[in-house]
Amino acid sequence: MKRSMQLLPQLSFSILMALSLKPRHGYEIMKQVKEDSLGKINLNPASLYTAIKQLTDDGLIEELPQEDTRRRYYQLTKEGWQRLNAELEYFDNTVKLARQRKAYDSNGVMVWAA
Amino acid sequence: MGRLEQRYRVFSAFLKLYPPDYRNRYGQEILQLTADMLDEAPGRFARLLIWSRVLADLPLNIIVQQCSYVGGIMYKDTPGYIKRNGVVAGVMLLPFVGALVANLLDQLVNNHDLYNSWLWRAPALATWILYLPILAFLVAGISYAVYVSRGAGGKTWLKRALNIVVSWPVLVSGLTAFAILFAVAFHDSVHCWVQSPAHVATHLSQTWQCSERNTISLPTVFKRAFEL
Repeated sequence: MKRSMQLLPQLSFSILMALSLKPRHGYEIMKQVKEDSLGKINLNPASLYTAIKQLTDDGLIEELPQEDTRRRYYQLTKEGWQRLNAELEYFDNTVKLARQRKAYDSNGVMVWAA
Repeated sequence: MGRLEQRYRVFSAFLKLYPPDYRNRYGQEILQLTADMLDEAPGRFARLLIWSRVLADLPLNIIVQQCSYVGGIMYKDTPGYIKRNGVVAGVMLLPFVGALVANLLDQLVNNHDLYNSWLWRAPALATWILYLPILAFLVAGISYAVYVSRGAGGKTWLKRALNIVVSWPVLVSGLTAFAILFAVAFHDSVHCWVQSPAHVATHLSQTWQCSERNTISLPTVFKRAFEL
């Protein structure tokens, strides 16, 4: 039987998405998350690093070896890729389901089927 | 002190509130990231906005990391008997909290004062709320004393006494029990001291006599509890 999956918090998911393109440091992650969310997610440093620490502890991202301790680069681990793919698959199915249930009223306005 | 620490002295001081491990690991990065954000800000107002966001975001995250740090230490370093006895002592104080809430309701609903209240008219409960805090205080105090006196970990007794990150479960329970006993003994004498500081200072002996007259000694409280 397939194990049930606990969805990642929005912030963690956004960080994994930002790191799916290439390894990035904190400021780049912050800018990419803002861009990906069309400006809706405006991260702050403290929250960002709380999430980064959690993702690192969970083994979903890792730090690239480097000397500059002010700008560390992070990348997805193998487990991180698997988790991101599982999340995307879930969202993909959810969107498909939502599209199937979509209906329109007599005025052509979209409503959700009961 | 690095260049950024000098540039943002106050913010660097705030970052010191993070647990040491976290600060060493991410402190520089947080500072650099904040500096990057400020450097890219188009004007003074934008910088002000960034500062307000950054500072507003800080306290909750510091609390989260401190809790995680203390939780981690508790998991790894705190001896089992400190955790267990801290919980046991805490549980012993629950009847007092329950009685306090019940008494407050009694005052609100039936307009009873303390000595005419449900709390004071239930001798068994009155005993529990006195004996149990004493027992809790002893359990917590002895556990703390054992922790301080044991020479484990190569630390001096003073360092162990001050290592509250490890011993806080028994310290919190013990001090709460002490506060309860203190409140039980002195709640009637508080009015003697709650006056203008000038009056207390100029009438110190009268204030002291008033306080002594109204202080209930613990044996008296027990006696009263049993008599009812």
